[in-house]
Amino acid sequence: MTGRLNLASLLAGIGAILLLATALVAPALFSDTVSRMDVAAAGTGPSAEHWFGTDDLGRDVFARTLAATQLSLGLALAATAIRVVLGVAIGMWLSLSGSLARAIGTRIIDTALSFPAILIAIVITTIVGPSIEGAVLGVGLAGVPTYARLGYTMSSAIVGRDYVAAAKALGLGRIAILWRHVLPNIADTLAVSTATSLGLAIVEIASLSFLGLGVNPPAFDWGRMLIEGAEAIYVNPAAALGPAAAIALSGLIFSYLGEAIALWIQPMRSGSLVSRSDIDGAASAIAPLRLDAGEDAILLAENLSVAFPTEGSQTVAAVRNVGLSIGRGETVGLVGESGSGKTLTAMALAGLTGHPARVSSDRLLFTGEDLTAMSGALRERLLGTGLAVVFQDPSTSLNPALRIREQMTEAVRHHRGLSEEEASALALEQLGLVGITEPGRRLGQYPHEFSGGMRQRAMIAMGLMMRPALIVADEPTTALDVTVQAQILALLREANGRDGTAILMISHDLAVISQVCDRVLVMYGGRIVESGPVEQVIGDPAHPYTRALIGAIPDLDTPRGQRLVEIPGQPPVIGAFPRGCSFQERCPARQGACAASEPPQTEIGAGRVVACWLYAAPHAEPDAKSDTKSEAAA
Amino acid sequence: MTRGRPLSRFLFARLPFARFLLGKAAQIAAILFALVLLTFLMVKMIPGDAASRIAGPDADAAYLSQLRSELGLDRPFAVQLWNYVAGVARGDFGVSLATRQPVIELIRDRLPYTAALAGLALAFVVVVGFSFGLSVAIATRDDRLPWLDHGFTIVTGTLGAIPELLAGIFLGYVFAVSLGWLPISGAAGPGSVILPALAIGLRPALNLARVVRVEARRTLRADFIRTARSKRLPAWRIYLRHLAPNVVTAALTIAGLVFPFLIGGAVIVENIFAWPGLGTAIVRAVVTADYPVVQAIVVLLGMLVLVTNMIVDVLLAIADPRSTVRT
Amino acid sequence: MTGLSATDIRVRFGAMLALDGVSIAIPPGGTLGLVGESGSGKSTLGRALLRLHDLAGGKIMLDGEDVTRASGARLKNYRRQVQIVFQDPSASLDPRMNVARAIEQGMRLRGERDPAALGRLLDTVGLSRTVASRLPHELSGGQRQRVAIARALAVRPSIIVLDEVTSALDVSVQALVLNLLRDLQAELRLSYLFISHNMAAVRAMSDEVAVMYRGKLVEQGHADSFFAAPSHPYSRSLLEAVPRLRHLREPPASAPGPFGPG
Ligand SMILES: Nc1ncnc2c1ncn2[C@@H]1O[C@H](COP(=O)(O)OP(=O)(O)OP(=O)(O)O)[C@@H](O)[C@H]1O
Ligand code: SF4
Ligand SMILES: [Mg+2]
Repeated sequence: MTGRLNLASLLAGIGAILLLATALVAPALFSDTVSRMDVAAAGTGPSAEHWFGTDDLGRDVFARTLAATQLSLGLALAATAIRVVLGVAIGMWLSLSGSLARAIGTRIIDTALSFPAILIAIVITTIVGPSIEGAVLGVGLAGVPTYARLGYTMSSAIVGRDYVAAAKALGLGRIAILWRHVLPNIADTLAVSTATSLGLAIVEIASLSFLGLGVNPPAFDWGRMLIEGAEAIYVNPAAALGPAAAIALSGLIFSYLGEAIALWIQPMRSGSLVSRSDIDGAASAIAPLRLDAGEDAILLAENLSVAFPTEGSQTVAAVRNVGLSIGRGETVGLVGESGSGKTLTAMALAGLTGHPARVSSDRLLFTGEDLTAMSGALRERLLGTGLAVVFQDPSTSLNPALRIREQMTEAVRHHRGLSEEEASALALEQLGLVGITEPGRRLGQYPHEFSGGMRQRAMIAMGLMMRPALIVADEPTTALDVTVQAQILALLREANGRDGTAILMISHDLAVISQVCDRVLVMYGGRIVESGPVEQVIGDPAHPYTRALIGAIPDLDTPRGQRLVEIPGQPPVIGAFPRGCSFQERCPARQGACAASEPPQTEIGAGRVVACWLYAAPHAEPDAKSDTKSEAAA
Repeated sequence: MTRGRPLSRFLFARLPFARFLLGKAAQIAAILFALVLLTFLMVKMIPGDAASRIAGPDADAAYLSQLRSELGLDRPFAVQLWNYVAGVARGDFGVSLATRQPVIELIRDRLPYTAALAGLALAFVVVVGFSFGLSVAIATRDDRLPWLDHGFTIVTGTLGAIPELLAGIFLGYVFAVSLGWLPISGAAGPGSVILPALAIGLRPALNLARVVRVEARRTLRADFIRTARSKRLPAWRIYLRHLAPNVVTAALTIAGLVFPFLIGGAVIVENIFAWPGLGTAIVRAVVTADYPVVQAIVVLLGMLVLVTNMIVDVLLAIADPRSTVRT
Repeated sequence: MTGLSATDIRVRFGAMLALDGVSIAIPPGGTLGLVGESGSGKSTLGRALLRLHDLAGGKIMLDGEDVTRASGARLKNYRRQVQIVFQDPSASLDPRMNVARAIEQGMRLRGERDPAALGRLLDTVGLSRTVASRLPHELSGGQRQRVAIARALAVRPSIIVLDEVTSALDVSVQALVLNLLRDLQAELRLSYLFISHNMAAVRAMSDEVAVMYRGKLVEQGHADSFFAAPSHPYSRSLLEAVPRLRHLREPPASAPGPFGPG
């Protein structure tokens, strides 16, 4: 258990123990002090003898406050026990009941929840009569709906999980499922909210006592003392502030105790990123890059890296020394597995990485202009009009609260100053071009009224509004069905053919890329390991990773029963990239040089580049050259 | 006539909406009926019976039987129930046992005070909670300004944990007793409502701010915000057009949930500041066993909560384009 | 009749008929591939076969025995013969149960007491015995899916429903799991219902193929003939839409599919 212990948790723990100790010993300790009346000193303020002063009968407020801990805490515990046990039992019972009982039960609970708890407590006190029992019962029962809701929600969530389905499939009975799978998985949340609820119960009991509906003299709790103190607040504020502070403090202690429990039992998440700057640093020296599309590229990046800060001012690289260029009207694919850095590369190119990401590059040109040297406003204008992005999941990438019309037109109106009518007319035309029927009606609709495929069409139409020079499409079909995927891919090809829009398409599926792109870049472990014309890379892969990948992915033409190529191991994760080649741990052709330093980008044919020591020219051995470079860079 | 009148045309076009409203109204009627029944049973469930509780342990038998017939306790159960329900339906809750004044008059005197108090507190909660939470979320987006983030968490976590009872006492002590800026009790002029409203509204406002910030943070990471960024829209457009409407829905839901808390808070805080509303009345009525008054106020406050919830539901249905009641 | 067969299965969710009269038979010792787009009812059918959903109609037979209404011991016994592996291994493993406990649960139900059995089972699915004490979050996706497979195997089933078992895995890890499943099938004479939206994976795994569309079965047939010449127009559009690695750049499909624009 790697529970985190912070100062607040520590204080809360100590506070809870002190509180408990006070509750146990204070009444006995102060048994005569609390009722001794010092008539001469009645209603005086704090003094050396009476730290919190005295009440109007001359009793010591400090001693009484400590002594009242027992009753206040005890009543709160009793009330909490009522609400937790009763509520959770009802909630769990409901979650396992039939659908009709569930529907009726949750309705009743929700209605009860919408009534002020104090009103419920008052109703119960009315029945039982203003008394200690009334207060406990009132506060306890008033909280039952909350716990019934909580128990129901948590239990239903667990009951709906796949592992409960798997347990049912194994033949486990209801009780066993509840006991082994549901209870352990809700116990922690329950413990947290019980602690928090204890703090609330203290306050609620005190409130009832303060209203005269709970503890009555001669017994006294903090709420009861508060009435007496409040009446004398002009004479001795401490008489009211003492018990008030006790209520506030214990409430705070229990609410932080809840958070401390939550922190402590939080299932251990994988530790934070380990900095491997030593390893990454060595890798940052690389051989000169080959730029495939020449200097007139619309997009050109040299030595693009994206890193994230870790604890202690260090960084881990997620994308490393990527060089790429895209020519006018060219279609380029970026393929790689989950976590290989495809999205980050694309977002860095588009200037859309989030806050902690640090992007660096030697050169980053868009339509010939240097993005890194440009003023913010100018860059926004250039990218806003020249580059459009289509994201993976069209159901979350469109704003659910705005009509399609506004979402499609806002950018042209802002960047090009078009009037509403002009922009709408353009949107109408673009929607028609992507094959959406009745575009006029569709413009007035919200995204949820579109099907998944139509939403992605709308996203593409939205991107094309500005006639951008480049569309970056990040897994544009991964969330779609295969028939819809084919239509979306066709649309992208069409846009490329019609407007000469260049496309950078990202996918984990080489086959999808092959449908749209001329050229493909293969990414692995944050680097580009191979690039070249699609047919050549697929037909004759050079890099060991590309080769293995093509053998590992079944294709419709793979005969049944043919064994797929297995790639042992796992892709490397950010922060744990090995020194040298990222693929070395899984590579069948590994050699000595591979672990020593990063393989250089080597040209192996027209437009084909591979980063692998198997292809490196003999003179480009990993040696002093790259090491000195890394030192120079540092 | 071949052309429908505007209203019916409107209703026709909004048929699902009208059906939705009708459904809500029916739901409220049902809950209200349950509430009335509950208040009736409340008095029935008193151990012994209501008359002996009122008269006390050593009352003489003649007084007891007089009390019983006055309360109608000597009649059959069904008749009592019918009389009570029919009375409530006419707005007749009977006569206060303590003051002999018709209960409805007492309500009429006191309701405006509670409504003003709760209304002011609600306005405070919504305005402060929403703007505070949203602006902090925007300022700390993408983990910017970590100190503000921490400060916000500590302030809302600590101040937001102060219950109404204590907030009332502390505010009263500081602003009325020590500084003498505002009156501490009663309803003497508009200044009197400020402290009670603050005492009620502080906790929910800070909690709403917390929720709004969490919601806004989550929304800021949503894919559609990334889409808006990719269009290079100006910041105000991203925050006001793309972010805010998506957070309002969540905020409204919370505001609806907050109202019962405000009513509950009002009951307590009215008693601290001797505010002449329903909260002070109900507490006095419970202590003096003045059951008709308790019944009336429970039904009334419950109704207030119900109606507010319905208004919030309707607003939500209008604000959320995904809800099916819009056409 | 041996093996698992289902006739005219209906499942209703509220007003929606999720399965509308579906009949399938899983070839004993072979694999039935089930394809169709998302929402067509593939997973519902898989779960319905395990009696994890209430049936609104239909009949399930295992080795000639009607188990449609089996309950108590008979249902338990049935479920021991038919197991399921889910798509997302991180959701289908209890986060608080280590590998050993997750697998032993099933072995104990079968009455297995041999402490070495766990190790053998881990070997079978190609997991190192050192993972036994780990919690799910300490495993990679491929390893988790192997644990889920081992958990299903623990009760010695004869039939396993594989519901999108590779779609949550990295592409370079998929092949391992598919190869493993095929090896296990040959070794333990298992029958599979292989549910997937990935036509190529279905092609690689299946002896027979069934196609679902909107809660109905539109086609069912021998795999080779299905992939060579699907008969239903929907199956045809489905197959044509699959991007092929080795058939580059078909001319742009100008007309939307036979079922209209998505
Ligand atoms: N904010 C962040 N902080 C730390 N690491 C991050 C952050 N964002 C991304 N990463 C890491 O950077 C690496 C590359 O991420 P990226 O999203 O580019 O992968 P991807 O190739 O697009 O994968 P997928 O196919 O899953 O979309 C991953 O290991 C990811 O966990
Ligand atoms: S550099 Fe070495 S380890 Fe890397 S792919 Fe080439 S041969 Fe394999
Ligand atoms: Mg990605």
